[in-house]
Amino acid sequence: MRRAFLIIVTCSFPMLDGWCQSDPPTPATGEPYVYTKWESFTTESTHGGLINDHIFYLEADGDSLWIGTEGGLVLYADGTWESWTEEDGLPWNVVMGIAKDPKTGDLWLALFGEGIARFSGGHFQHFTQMNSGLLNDVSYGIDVQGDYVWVASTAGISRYNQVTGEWAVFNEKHAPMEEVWTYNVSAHEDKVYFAVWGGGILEWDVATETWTDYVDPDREMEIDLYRDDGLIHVITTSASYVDNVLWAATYFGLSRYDGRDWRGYMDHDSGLPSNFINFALGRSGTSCYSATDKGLGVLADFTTDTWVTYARDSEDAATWTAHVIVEGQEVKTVPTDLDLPNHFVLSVVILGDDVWIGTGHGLARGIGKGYYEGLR
Amino acid sequence: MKGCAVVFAVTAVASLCTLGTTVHAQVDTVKSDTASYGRTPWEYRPYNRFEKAYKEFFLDVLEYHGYGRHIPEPEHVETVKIGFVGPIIGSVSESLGGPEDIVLRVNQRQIRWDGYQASHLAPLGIKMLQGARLAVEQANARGGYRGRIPYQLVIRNDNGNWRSSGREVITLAYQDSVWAILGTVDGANSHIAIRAALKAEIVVMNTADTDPTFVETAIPWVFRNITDDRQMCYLLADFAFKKLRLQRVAALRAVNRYGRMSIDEFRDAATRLGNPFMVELEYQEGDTDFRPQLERIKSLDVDGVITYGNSRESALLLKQMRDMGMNQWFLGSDRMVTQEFRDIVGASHGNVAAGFPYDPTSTDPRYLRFAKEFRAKYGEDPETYAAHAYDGINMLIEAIERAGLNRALIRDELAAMKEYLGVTGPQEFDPVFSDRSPAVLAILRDGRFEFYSREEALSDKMDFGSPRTP
Repeated sequence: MRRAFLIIVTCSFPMLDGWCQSDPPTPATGEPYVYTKWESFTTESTHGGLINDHIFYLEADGDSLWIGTEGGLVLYADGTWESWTEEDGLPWNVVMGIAKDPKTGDLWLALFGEGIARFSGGHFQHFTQMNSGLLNDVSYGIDVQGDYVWVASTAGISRYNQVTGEWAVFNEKHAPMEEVWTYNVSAHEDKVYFAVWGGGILEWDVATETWTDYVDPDREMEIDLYRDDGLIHVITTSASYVDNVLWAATYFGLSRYDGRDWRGYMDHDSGLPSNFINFALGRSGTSCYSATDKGLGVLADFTTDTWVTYARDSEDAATWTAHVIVEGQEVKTVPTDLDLPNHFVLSVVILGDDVWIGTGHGLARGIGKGYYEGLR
Repeated sequence: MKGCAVVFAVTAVASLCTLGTTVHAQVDTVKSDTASYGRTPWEYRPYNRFEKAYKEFFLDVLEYHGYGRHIPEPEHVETVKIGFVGPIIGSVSESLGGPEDIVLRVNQRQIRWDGYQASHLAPLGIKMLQGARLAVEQANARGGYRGRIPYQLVIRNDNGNWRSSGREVITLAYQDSVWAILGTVDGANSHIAIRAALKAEIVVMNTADTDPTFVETAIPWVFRNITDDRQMCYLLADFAFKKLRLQRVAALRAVNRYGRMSIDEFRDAATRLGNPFMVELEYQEGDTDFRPQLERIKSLDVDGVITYGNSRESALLLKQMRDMGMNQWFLGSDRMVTQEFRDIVGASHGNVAAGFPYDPTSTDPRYLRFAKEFRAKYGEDPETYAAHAYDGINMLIEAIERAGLNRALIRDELAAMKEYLGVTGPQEFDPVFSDRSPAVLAILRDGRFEFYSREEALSDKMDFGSPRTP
């Protein structure tokens, strides 16, 4: 169906700041911002500065970027690279999650199979299930809320009080968890959200210290009975909360919840390039960035169901292409200069107006010159 | 199938063992409902009478879109390593956490037995390891990887505290540098393992976990070569409600994840056929006294009892049921099709039926040869965990031989195996790479399990008696 509405934009790369100027706007709805100028980084292109190409997580830190890779921790700041591996005291090279504590400045790391670590003053402090309250050493996500460090592990949720040193654990005995396999955590001032593999989304209310669980109402793994009846599926991978809106990523699509209504998105009914979402980041209550196995899917405007997806159109494509999709119909394609060799996107973060994506082979920054929200 | 009313014991027929080892071959495709996931009959589909689902999942073949195929082969390896994760050291319960928990849950007024101070799954894991080892040894006897490099099984135990299977997969992937992994048994540990494998981008071949949801996670790195509880429950439900015409079935199952998840499709089938459970009760893993629950079930005038749990509890439950004068059909899972079960229940077992993933009385030359070689090596007959692990390792080796030393390409080769002819019979893989070959029905008769195909079990020619008459 999308191809029937295809309009090829033929403008050249130098003109690609923001939206392509030669293309007529869509009067009825306006146009979303499209990232057309990108910088790409691989181990090869950075001469080893980026120590590993397999990027699991990105964490913004002011104007700098922390990068969790399969081969160590990396800091990109002011155009320079700094990295830490096991040789530098990092307890384990596979860094699956990163959280910066705004209060202390410490960096907290989720280590894939080796617990967590606190990076403070140039030193790493290692916490494992043998020396702390961690439920399991397979840590998938970590975040900081107030004095607490929350850890999403394969055997449940652990919480560390940085002031008292006290640990609390939450699994099927202490929380409404049908399964305990926790995949990600996203902490905010008033809420903490967990993506629980097989258990949907768990919400921790900071004020009342109570749990609310969100699961697929049809309670069946092999179907989604109704599109907008609730969470699409209980196999969740991440949660993002912004403007009082919850964005939930699953391997079966994306869900949005505004506290009253749910909205589901799949690859056949929206601009989502794939239902297999590794990570999702809400930029606002009306915009969400989904890191999928087939590229980056950006819901640019919730109200008009306008998407911009970024992907390689073929295996041998030199660069990625942006597809503008409205209500499931492609209305425009825009070339970009993003040249990463693979569009298996694992992570995404916003830094100012720029968007950064981490893939299975390389890192890229979309330069957001003239960025605007929604449509224009 | 496979002969009607054949006995459980496998007879070695050495003269038939002249064919080659397990091969990837064309097999006759069993007629299937390809329009539905998991070969789910229309009458058992969720909400079938009320609404067509907005989206049906698992109908398209899972694909991997990552970068892994571009990773070059290593220039030199001394051995081609295959990981094994399984419960091979008796230590703790997978489902409940620790040995102290288990001891507390054993009813004290019964004679205590110490089986669960060791892992109840270790006997199954050890069988799995035996089958895996035999397959690797035979591959090496043929010359190893492409006739020049030996295969090596790197073995890891998964039943340590706090869900260690994920950590073991990570160790195998990042430190042991294996090319693929086989494992494990416990449903929770299997889920944990495949989540880790997904991130590490390495194949996991499961040969023992029959939890239907195991593959319902959209992970393109996961393969399963054993018929699951979805298939076994459908057959058991057809047998219970269509053949035996039971109407008042009660469930008494283990409270662990195995009991909770594996009975699911039977419960749903019962409901969708208009015969919802009269009651669903639970017991703790390690319990030895089921009379309080059975008293309640007895008061409900049921015509069948179904259980999902381990062999020992299932047997004790049945024995107490018969002692209480309850002669209803007793239905259960493949885990109770064991010698242990038969030893405990003795001669007064009455009517007993269970789903089973393959025909262990097969006279297929491949199976007979495998059984003979297994006996020669281990001095005992193979069983389901050994046989499926043997097939699983052979599938991995076949994929490695074709793909070379690249994890993503090994995945691709396995994904391309829509059918496989192993010692456990023809296997047919669905879009999520799970074996959908038909389950068989195990009927206990005169102290021995007999195995029936669906057609045989549901045939009008077969008379299994009235619902309550042993």
